[in-house]
Formats: sequence, structure tokens, C-alpha cells
Amino acid sequence: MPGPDVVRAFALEIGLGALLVLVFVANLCIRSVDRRVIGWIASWGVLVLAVTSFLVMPAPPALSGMFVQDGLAIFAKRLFLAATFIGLLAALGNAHPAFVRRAGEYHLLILVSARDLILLLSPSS
Amino acid sequence: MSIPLYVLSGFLKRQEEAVEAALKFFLVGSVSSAVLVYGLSFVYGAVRSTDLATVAQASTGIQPFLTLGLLTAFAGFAFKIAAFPFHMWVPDTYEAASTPFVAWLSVTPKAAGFVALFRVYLEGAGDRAAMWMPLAAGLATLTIVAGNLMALPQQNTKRLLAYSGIAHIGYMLVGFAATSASGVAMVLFYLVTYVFGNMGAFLVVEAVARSEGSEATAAFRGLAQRSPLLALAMLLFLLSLGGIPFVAGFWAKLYVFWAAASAGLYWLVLVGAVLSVVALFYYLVVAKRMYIEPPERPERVRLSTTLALAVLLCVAGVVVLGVYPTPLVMAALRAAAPLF
Repeated sequence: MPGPDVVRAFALEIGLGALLVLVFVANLCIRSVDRRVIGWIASWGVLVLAVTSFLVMPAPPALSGMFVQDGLAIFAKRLFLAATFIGLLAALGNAHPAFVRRAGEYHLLILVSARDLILLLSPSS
Repeated sequence: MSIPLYVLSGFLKRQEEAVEAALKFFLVGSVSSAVLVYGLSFVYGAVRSTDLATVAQASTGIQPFLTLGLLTAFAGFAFKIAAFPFHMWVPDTYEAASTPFVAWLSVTPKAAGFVALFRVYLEGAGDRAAMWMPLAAGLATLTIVAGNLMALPQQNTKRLLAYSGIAHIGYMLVGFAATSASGVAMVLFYLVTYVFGNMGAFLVVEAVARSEGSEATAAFRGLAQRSPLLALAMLLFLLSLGGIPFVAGFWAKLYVFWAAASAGLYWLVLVGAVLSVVALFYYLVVAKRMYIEPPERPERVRLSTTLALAVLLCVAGVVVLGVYPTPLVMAALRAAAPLF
């Protein structure tokens, strides 16, 4: 079991992972042709994470020192989540047929990229 | 990390240009990843460790394999941040992919790329970080000059913003070239202002393109008469990108130049300042179309509530950071301080 320090260091990554799962499940459950409601779930989720990021404090290195949650990582992650929120918000009104039909796929891909990119902000190895 | 980005670039798969752009992005991205990994393999071979602190410690003496590895990896990172001459995927991808995605793509992978550059080349290196100054300064010069000159003849606003984005990467490399805590901090500040200015500009392009069915600069004709608030928002974004007082981009450019001057890179500051004036030309071409040329039709440009809200957030960012940048500058300085 990971200790509290590891969980603290990975708080935003875990949050983004949970949001990914939620969006994935929503994509499976929603039967409607217009799937843009998934965009709202993703946008609100990222907004909550962006606000939460201001509560995240620098944490000791995790995973044998390979992952650092220092001031630089936290600053960049806040910037990242804010940019992702703006990008998702702007896409909500997109009425392109491909987008309406495949909104779940679009948001899932954005969130996967965002998760991978925020992981890139913290390595020390 | 990059695979979802390739898929998103070709999301509109029925459009030939989107598929072509995604393929180009994929091929260039794959090559850059290979170059990056190849370089890092040399670094591992030379240092026998993947720990960045150990790499920083090892870069004291003359180690040809380590230097070669770090140089090769630098080229890989340059692809990721789209610095010249590794920028060729940018204009086509930006032009063909959906605009809200492009707005996001234009800032976030680059921010991640810069943070990775700081971690690999500057963190824990202390005074030895200065060995990267000539390389970064040279790359910054090339990127600023090429990005701005290639933006000049563009008639498509997404391509124009793509090339201007390449130039902005050059300005951020000016901060990197300072190889100091203040340089890193000013790049972080620049990234924040760039998020608001550049994303905002792309979102206005999205609004106009949805209304006009065109992304050409000509589609902005008379926008100030048709939708004055939208035109004002675009003007603010363009002024911010151009570095005009007192919007956010002005402080961003001033601070990276200040960091470079503090490191003795006066010639780089001069190049950046001169090319900033050149950049104003192509930004003001769009402004001229909006404010001086007559509209082709009288209807307002309609945009969805969420898009309007996103534009409003970007306007707020550009204006607030233009009027009162100090708290963010201090936060960036605090974030960068432990690196050195």
C-alpha cells in the first residue's frame, strides 16, 4: 500500500486518473447520439482539480526519489490545469457532427494527454 | 504522452488535411522521440545512472559521450517545443486540427517541454548550467527570426498564429539561455501570459471561423463594427502577443529580456526587441482588418456561451496580468529558486 506521502505527492495525478475513469464510464453509459454532456463532466472535473491544485503543497520525493512534487512542478501543473479547463470549456459549444458524436472519445484523449503531460512535470530521473 | 495528441490532430478524420497533418505530426513526433531516447541512452552510457542529479554532477568534466547525449536529447526536446528548425509539424497541424484543441495544443505540450528542459539541463547544475548558454541563445535567435519572418506573409490566421507561436518559443528560449533562476522564473511567467494571449486568440479565430466558414485574415474584415467586444478581445490578445504595454505579454517579454541582459546576453535582447517590432506588423494586419476595413456582411458573429466564457477568462488573464503582474512574478521566482 502506498504511504500518505506518496498519495500526497500524486494527489493531482490521482485526481486526473479518477476523472479519466469517470469520463470513460460516462462514455460507455450514455446512449444519446449527442455526447457533449461528457464535456461538461470533463470540464467541471478539471476545474475542481485546478482549484484543488492551490491546496497542494510541495511533498517529499516519491518512488525512490524518481517523482518530485516541488514548487516548479506545482506551478506548472496549475498552469496546465487552467489551460486545459479553458480548452475544454471552449470546445463545449462545438457543434461539428463528428465532435457531437465522438465527444466522449475527444475528452478522453484530452484527459489522457493532460495526465501524461503533468507526469512529465515531476520526474527527477 | 504524444500518441493521444496525434489522434486528436486527426480527429476530424473525414477531412484530408486533418489526416495529413496528423500523419506529419506522428512522423515528426516519432523521429523526435527516437532522437530524444537515443540521446538519453548516451547519457545513461556515460553516467551509468538515470538520476538527473547524478547527471548534473557528472557534467563537470569533459565527457564527450555525455555532451553528445545531452546535445542529441536537446534536439529531441527542441522538436517537442517546436523550436526552429524542428518546427515543421506546427503550421500544418494547427491549420487542420479543430481550433479549441489547437488552442490547447499550442501551449500545454510546450509548457511541459520547457519544464523537462529545466529539469534535465539546469536543475542542480549550478554554475555549470552556463555551458548551455551559447546553444540556447543560438537556438533562440534562429527561432525568433524564422518564426517572425515566416509569419509575415501568412493569410490564414491559424497559420499566422502557428508561426508566431514558433517565435514565442524563441522568446522563451531567451529566458532559458540566461541559465539562471530569474531566467527560468520569467519563462514560467511568459508561459502563463502565453496561455491567455495565445489561447484567447485561437478561440476568437474559432468564433469567427464558425460564423464565416473561413480562417483567413480576410474573415476578420469589419469585425469591430459587427461584434465590437469580440474585436476588442482579439485586439487585446494580439497586443499581448506583440508585447505592447500594458497587457500581459509586455511584462513577459520585458522580464525575459531583463533576465538575458542580467546574464550578459545584450545582443540576444537586441535581436528579440527588433524582431518584436517585426511581429507587430503581422499582428496589426489582423487589427487593421478588424478596425479599418469595412465588413462584408452586417450580422454579428454569434458564439456559444461557453466559448464566450473561455474568451472572457483569457481577456481577464491578459488584462489583470498586464496591470498587476507582481504576485505571479513572485510566485514564478519562488517556483524557480530551488533549481539552482
